[in-house]
Amino acid sequence: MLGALLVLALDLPPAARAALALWDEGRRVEAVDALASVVDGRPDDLETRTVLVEREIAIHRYRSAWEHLAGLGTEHDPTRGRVLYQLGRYEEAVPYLAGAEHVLARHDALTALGRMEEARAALDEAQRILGDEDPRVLTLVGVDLAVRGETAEAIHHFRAALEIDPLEQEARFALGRALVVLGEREEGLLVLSEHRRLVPLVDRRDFAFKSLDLAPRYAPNLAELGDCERSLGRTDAAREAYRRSFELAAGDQVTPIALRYARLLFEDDRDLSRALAVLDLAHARASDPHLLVRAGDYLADRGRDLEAAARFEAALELAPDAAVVRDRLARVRARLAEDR
Amino acid sequence: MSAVRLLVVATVGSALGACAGSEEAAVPEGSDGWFTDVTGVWDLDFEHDAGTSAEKLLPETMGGGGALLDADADGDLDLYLVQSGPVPTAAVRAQGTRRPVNRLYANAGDGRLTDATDRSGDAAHNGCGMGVAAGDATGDGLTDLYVTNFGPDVLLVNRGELRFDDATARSGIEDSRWTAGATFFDADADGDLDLYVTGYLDVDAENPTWCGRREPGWRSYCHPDHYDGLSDRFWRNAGDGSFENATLTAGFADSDGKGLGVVAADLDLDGDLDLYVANDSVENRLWTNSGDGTFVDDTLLSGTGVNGRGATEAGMGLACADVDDDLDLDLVVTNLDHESNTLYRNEGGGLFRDATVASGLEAASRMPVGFGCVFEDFDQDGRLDLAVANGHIIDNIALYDDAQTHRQAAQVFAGEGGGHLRALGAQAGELASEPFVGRALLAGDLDGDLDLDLVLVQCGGPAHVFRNDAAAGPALELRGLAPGTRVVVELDDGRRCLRTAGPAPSYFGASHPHVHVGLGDARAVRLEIRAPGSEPREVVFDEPLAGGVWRAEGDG
Repeated sequence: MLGALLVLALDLPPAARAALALWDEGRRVEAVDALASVVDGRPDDLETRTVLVEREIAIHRYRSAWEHLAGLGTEHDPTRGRVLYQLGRYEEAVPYLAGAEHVLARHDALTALGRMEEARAALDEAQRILGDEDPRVLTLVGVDLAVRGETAEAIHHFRAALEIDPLEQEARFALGRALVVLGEREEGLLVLSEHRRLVPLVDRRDFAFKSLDLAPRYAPNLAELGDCERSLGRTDAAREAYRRSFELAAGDQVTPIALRYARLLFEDDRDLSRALAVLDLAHARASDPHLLVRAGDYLADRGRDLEAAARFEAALELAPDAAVVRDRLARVRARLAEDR
Repeated sequence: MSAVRLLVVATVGSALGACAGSEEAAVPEGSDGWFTDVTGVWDLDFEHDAGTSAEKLLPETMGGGGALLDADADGDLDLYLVQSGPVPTAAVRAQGTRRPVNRLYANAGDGRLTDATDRSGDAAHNGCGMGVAAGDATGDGLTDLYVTNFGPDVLLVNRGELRFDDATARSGIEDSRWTAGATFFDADADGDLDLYVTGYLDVDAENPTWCGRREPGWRSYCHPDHYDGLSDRFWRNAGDGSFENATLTAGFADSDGKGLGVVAADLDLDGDLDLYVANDSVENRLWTNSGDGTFVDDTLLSGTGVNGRGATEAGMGLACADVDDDLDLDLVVTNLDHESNTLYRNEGGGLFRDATVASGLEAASRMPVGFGCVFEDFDQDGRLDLAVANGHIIDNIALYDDAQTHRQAAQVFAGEGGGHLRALGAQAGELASEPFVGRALLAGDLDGDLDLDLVLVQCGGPAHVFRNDAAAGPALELRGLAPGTRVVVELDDGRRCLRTAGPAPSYFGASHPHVHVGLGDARAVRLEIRAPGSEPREVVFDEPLAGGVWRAEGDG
């Protein structure tokens, strides 16, 4: 697949390749504008047109993608379905929505249209294609069972979905509702309460993903994702988001991102040395007293007062009037004096 | 004309006999659709000033409220429209530019409107306006107004002959935050109207956040997620013109919900008024009235906090009506693009179910951004229809999602019975033929022909008034009922229709206060009336009514 893409890229005219370089730099909107210019000048260049359509979809330019799909062959019909679906043109989208990638969209489009028997058939197809372990499929089957009044069986599906994906919010909500309907009011309300707790966190995470669609290399977007993942207790995902964010951070972005990354390493991972490494690396890039103070705090927390004092002293060199830093320094010096 | 007696049995009939006509919606001969734009003909010249700035301050894109009320007690509906203007930052204040004022239009009785702002006293308020609630707060028979602002709200007491006084300080109400939706309702059944006001967002206009890309032209209005929500406030009417902040004592202890819309309705059919609040991007809230004016948060159990997929939506406008003809009240909430407008069907027992798909609303409402919405029987066939004003929040949204536009066509959905709605498309007429930045959508009979016209208020554009050309049958209008009064109208063909007295809130507004019942080919033979906090009563017509106006004063 990668080989095919490379060949495709090599087949592109220089202007299109330059546009893709912009894309790789994270300058997605500029890249798409440049690709569109190429296609305007070379309407028969189907390779560039194909690349353009995929990139337009990635940045939510579905109307343009639809226009640029004209002239491409029937092998692009699944893409047509995807674009029409995103444009809310469900009647037109349905015939094109096929295959593993689009079967759930087909189900959703048919549901939105109220064509419930066809939607059920699409769900059967989704089960065949995606398997019984797919949390979305489990949830949708559960919803269908609940509608049919098979509440106990629906509950089984919702629980199974949540086992696989604890953030499957539709399953959690439906589980709570189904339990209430079944007379298990207390348990149902507990589930609904947990759903209520998670809703804003999941919403925020979804929003962060949407921002990343537009600017995947914008460090604050990745840091926001890290915050969301951390708030959901998904430490591995948060750590990875912070790590990528820290790599990409520049200028004023460095300090706030480093502080968040270090907090996870220190508080969640209990990894003082990595937290210090991040803070020191960030300080080398940004020369910010906040980073030194945070490092001093972490060191003091672990009783390494001598090193903490050094960090606070360095911070005071950069911010001599910072009373809060002076207070910190005084405290660790007092402890050191006691120890002596 | 009628006999009145207390109902012995207050229970309502089964859905089988409920209000559900069967005729196809018709358009009168010579008309191009249900609604015709008569803005110029009826002399409405209001243009909403959004106060747009380079800083993209969120209040600039939320405004556009209004109310239909009988301001001069002459029997027809006048129109009050709320202005916004520039967000009053220190820099704006320093410029000293004269701010635009809210405007009051007097109705000549046939729909023609005359600007009466100059003689409206303090109704010509010049705050950074958002919405307005209408109700007789002072109990003198005249309709008063409460205007929500980005800044201090105002209570405008009607002194008659179109004149209003600012009674805010005297009333004890004080709220300088960003407030949004508001409704007058008798929460504690003591005969006076209390007030619920939603708080929206804690926005620091002096230090605006930059949202969107940094390139010229790409700066965007921020998503509500960027701001903390504000708590709602409940003001209990003492009956002497003063109000007490009873938010906490009434049970609204945790209402920090970014509220935009609020409706008071007897959702559990126990005779008092409950509250439903549409919150933007966080869960909506259902507050059940305990009967004594204290409220319990029943959001979780009811299932009305999120949509059927368990997701929060952008809750903006809302409407409450018996959509599925089963003699209880359902809810519809308008939402953002890529969300549908959500219909919560009342299942009884305090439970609601997301019936958006089953109603036919799902696909048609996923792409537009819905704001004002009203459920009324516009074609007067006995089935409730839904009209929705649309328009995006973000003026440059096409840069971020080229399937979206700032201006969007309004939509009308014809009721087909049993809770099913059919999108009319072009059949809606001029209401849907031109895109607007729609906000408030108000229904009321402006031209006195006993059908319901519409006023669409835009954010940053002219307001429009649309004459109803859809009504194919007669209607019965019930007047003089307390807000939220439930009325079951029994027809001579055996059908029973549940309707409620307004004013319905829509988005940032107040529609007409009456009960409007499309009769189709039927005639009304009996009314079951239950005012909030009162025992049910029955009105039996000796001669079935084939339309007209019925007043609740005396024996009707």
